[in-house]
Amino acid sequence: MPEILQYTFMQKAFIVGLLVGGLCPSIGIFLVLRRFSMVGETLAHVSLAGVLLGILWGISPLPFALLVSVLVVFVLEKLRSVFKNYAELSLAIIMSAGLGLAVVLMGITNASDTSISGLLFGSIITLSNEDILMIGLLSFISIFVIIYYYREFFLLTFDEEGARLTGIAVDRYNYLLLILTAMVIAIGLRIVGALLVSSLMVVPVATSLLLSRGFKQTLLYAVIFGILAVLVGLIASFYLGLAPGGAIVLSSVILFLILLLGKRIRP
Amino acid sequence: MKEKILHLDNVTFAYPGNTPILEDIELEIYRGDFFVILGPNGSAKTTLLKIMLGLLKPQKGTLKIYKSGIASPHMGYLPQKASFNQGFPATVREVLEMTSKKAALGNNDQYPQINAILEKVELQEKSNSLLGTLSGGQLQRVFLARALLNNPQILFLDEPVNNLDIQAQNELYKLLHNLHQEGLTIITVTHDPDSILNYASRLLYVDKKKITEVTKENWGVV
Repeated sequence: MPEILQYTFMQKAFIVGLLVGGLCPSIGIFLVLRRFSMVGETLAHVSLAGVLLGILWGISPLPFALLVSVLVVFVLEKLRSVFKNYAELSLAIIMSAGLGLAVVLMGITNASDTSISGLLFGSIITLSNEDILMIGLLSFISIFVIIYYYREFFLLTFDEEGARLTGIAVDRYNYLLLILTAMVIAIGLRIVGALLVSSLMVVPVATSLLLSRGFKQTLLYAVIFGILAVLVGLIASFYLGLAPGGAIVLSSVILFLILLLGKRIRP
Repeated sequence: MKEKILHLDNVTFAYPGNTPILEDIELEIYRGDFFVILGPNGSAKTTLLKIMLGLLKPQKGTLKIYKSGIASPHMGYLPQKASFNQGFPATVREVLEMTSKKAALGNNDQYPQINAILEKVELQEKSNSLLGTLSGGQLQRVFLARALLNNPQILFLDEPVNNLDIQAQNELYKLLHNLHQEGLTIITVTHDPDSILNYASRLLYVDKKKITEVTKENWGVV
């Protein structure tokens, strides 16, 4: 067995990393194509505040962060209906509130620099068995929902009015998509970090769009690129002592640049 | 006796915070109508169409759809300007397969219907092309194909020949004429009626919140 796999914490990191690498772009594709790329970023900041609140009140941070993000999804949709013509304004407001609260809570909780840095930029050594169980459960639910409602998400993303006419309850699936986003962020938060998890929802999709020959293929490639970025990032972080979140996201950006250059040279 | 298929009963509609743009509309559509809605720009033609489709809810009055034995009457709709993202990375066939619920669930029985519709709109050769690579006229036909899936009871079209060159316009009219001959009820909005008058069975003029049904003969007078 290679050295990297002899450590339990690396085995856990690979399990979670592969789930995160596959799930983030599976949701990300719908967000990117609906021009909701910033939703991931916003919910990640809110999750960060949720985790810190959980630590402060002594509640299991991951489920609590998820609960807070899901509640915020409803606030977000409400705000979006208030600022109909400025969709991104509601995102900016929620993101500011989430980050502001997180910074204040960091001071109050007296959390150590290591745990704060782990939350922001990801950590592979702090994954507990409870985390793995929770992440496994959330991943299972997310994968099931994405497969089961694939058609609804496709039509909703393609053309909302047309989806409504085919009998799809557009508002309900909008909420479902955002709740799924919150779930996937909660899954990715521990390993990639709050500041970087949403990149994994966007960059592999952008890479995949460069090769696009159809929707199914774009989704498949995005998942492959997401998983590849996680694998390369984790290996690099282990051998070079890099922050895992940063290494993973940089790998996915490098992959994007390679394909972009390749496309320029051989369009 | 003609079979009623749609009824707008005393409908008044206003967009939120505005005064009504349609008032006390009373309108009946019959099976087999080729119904053309005319009127100047901004006269609420599209709004009227969307009320008939159930996409907009009137403040007053009701929309009644008569099912005539069909469990869930399906409405085909070709929007004026498809609101989809031009860079959406799907092929023509993927859009149609996803629209057809059975095909999306992997039911192969639906493929002949999809192929037949692709043939009808002359897009067989483009079935595996990405939407972003199609011309305006071809995209229009993709949306028409989507509207024709699932055997619609009524086909609604909003300014279907906008952005089409003369040849594409004529091809579309010919196709609509054939569909009408096959028994499909068609309701279409246009601000440029000259070319469609030959095919229409009924004409409706919308202006100043009201509707007036006109005959082909007195259309010039209106």
